[in-house]
Amino acid sequence: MNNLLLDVLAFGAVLSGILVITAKNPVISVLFLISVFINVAGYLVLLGVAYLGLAYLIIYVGAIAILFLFVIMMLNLRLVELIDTGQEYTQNLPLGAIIGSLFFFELLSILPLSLFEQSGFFHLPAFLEEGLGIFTFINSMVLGLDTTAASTSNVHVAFNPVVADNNFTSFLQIESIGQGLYTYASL
Amino acid sequence: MILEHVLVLSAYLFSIGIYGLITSRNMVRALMCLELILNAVNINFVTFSDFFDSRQLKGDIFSIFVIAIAAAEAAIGLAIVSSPQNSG
Repeated sequence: MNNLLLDVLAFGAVLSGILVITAKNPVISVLFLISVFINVAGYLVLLGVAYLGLAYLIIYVGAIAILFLFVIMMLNLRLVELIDTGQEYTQNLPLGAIIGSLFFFELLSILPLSLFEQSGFFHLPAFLEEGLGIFTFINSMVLGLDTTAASTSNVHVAFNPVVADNNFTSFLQIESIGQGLYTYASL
Repeated sequence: MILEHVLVLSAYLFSIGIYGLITSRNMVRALMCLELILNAVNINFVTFSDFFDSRQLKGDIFSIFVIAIAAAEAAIGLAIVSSPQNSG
């Protein structure tokens, strides 16, 4: 049930983000920006960072979005508002595709593919693996990693260290920030 | 909790924000897309601090700074947009 709500909130955030940039009326754009903030706040609360989620609600929705609404609705600004129809819209789509694919390739090259190989139901086609090998090679040259076992190395595998502080108590997020700042950072 | 789900969400929001920022003719819409970008960066920081840094939470603390800076920058940007020099 928790995973379903995470997926719903993530989908809502991305959908609202798309509607922010494609709405004609700037007031509708601000309303969808508020929807993005609320979705991301709920997502952060489900991730376990309760303080940041509530801080998002107070600061982003309560101050920044209201400031945007004030500027748009109460001041008579002469904003250049062209309706993106036909040619204006489609001539910018290749740029969007390029930007999206950059992040797509970066995620596919950095995240460990050994997880998928062990589970057995996801295999990339051969030409994509060759293309990603180039990115892995460039990354390893820049970062100084070992290139021989680049696809199955455990450098980027996530692990949670067994720390004595987390074995006895489980902190809330704001308590753990305080414990880190006042114990290890010696404020 | 799967790491790449959160990273994919952050990448989507960042790409949408960058695309809206560089192809928007409206100055206020560009500022709103800048807020989207900073949101995506915050999610990224929090996720990596959750998975890798259970001890010191450097990502959580830095994202509090990012929220404060985003608020101040949005205020200054909107003041510049609505100044009398820019037909406001």
